[in-house]
Amino acid sequence: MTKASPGNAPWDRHPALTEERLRTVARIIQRVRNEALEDFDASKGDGPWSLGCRVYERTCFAITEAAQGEYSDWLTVIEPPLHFVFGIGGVPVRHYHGEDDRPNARALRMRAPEIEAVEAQLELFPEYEQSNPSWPWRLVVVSDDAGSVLRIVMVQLDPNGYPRSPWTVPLAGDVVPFAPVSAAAKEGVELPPPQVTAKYPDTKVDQGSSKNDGEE
Amino acid sequence: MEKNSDRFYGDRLRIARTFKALTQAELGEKVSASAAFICQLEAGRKQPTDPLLQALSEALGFAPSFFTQPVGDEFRDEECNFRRRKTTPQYLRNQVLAHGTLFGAVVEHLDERLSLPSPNIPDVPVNANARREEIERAAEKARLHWGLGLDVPITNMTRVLERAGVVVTRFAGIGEKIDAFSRAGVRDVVVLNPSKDSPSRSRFDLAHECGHLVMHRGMETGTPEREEQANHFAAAFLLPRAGFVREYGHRPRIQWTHLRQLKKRWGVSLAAIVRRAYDLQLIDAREYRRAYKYIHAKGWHKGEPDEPPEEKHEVIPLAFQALERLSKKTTWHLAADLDLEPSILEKLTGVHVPVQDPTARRLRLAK
Repeated sequence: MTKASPGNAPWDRHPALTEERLRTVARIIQRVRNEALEDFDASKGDGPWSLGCRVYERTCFAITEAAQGEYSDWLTVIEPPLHFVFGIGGVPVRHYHGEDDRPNARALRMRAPEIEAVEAQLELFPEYEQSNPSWPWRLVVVSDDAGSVLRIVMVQLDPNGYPRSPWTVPLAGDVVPFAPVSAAAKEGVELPPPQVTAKYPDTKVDQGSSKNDGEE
Repeated sequence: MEKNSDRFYGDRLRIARTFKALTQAELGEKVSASAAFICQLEAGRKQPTDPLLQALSEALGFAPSFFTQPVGDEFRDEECNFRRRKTTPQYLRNQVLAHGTLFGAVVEHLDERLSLPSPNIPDVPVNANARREEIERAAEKARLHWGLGLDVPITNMTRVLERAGVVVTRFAGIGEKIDAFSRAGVRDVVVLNPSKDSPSRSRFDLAHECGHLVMHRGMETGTPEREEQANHFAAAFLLPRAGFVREYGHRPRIQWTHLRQLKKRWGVSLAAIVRRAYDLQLIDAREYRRAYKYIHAKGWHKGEPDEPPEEKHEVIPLAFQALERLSKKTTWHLAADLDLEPSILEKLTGVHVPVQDPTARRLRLAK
């Protein structure tokens, strides 16, 4: 799993990017993608294109709704679709679906509203200038080929397009992998077959004649 | 018009119709009645005449007496754990629920006469936002509860469930759109779809339904979160971390010969093994995607090599044998007692049911 090195977590680079906020946004993105996958029906002609469009538009909608409701104190919409930019505590963030270590050119693109938001942050938090606040923040949704979320990673992209300080958002948490010290592989437990017996011992099961007895 | 003398139960007509996947209009056409009239019959607002009852019986393949018994414990949509609930057409779900209701009547009949394995499913409720570690522990608790150890393969997943009081069956001819489903009740039921034709995936389906029964009893299922939890449970139950991490070893690049050995030993599909390796951080996301593409390129997503032997459900066949031994009633008699055609009982249970009374034939031969 990709982990930010100490002092390089998003919240170290900007105080507004707290773990809880990033988890909240990532959970919205994951939920929307899962719901869109539920609606996916290849037998009716759905494919990666329709899935991608549906996921993107619904995600923008869900983040906008959250920004207008429960999380309005820190979540904002900086630029509405199609070039959707949202703000976490004022820090502009975009999301895209792909690889976190190989962002494409579109992920790097910054338009005026995002640049203005970055400049505003520079004025508000001059002490974070060494954290390269002008580099864009991106939430990268990495999925398997079926479209299910594998992980969501927060990265900052440098001017050459290299991801810096990637931090994987813990969604449902990780599983602690462990193995016993013993190296021997044991065989599985062989279970005896299930038992079916008379309900009441020593009594015969109802022998009443079947409705069609004798008929032929 | 001559009215049918026995009381007619409209619910039974609805169940027989949905069992045959007919709309009210389609059934109406077969019996020369309007869809509206079929609707009224099903709602119990009208009673059929004897000729109409006979026509309905012939059109649906159920004896007239089938419609004169009240419906017992009906399988309802909200009680059953369906995957892909939203994209599964309602008519298909209704068809499968009708199968379930009829199968439930068979099980109830057997339960009244025989002592089937006692219900013994551990209850480990988890909420919708449970962390993966909780699911992992739920699977481990279930393994310990049933004495299956924490680091060895499950040799027979069907037997695990059946010994815990769950009745397992396969419904033939329900199409490929329906996955396995389960229903928690007085007697838990798990239904497999035999058209999938992959024993390793059937084992995973059983473990998935087991997850619902262990973690989600009385809760709404079918949501992405709950289905994901049941999938995670299935993976953790069939490939427990203690045994899997030890046997997978340190292989950040997948070695397919090794994976195929693991499949033979653990009886789990290659796709599920790859996913488990990713979830346990034994391979990274890139290797996972590479493996996924390899599986597709090989066509293994449609049928994998090294499939384990198919597991047979045992409780229903054993119950039929016990019934015959104790009461001299064959499956043919059982079908007659339940007002079911032999072919329907066979479809519901996967057990051969003779179309004629075999004891009558034996008597004739003896004479």
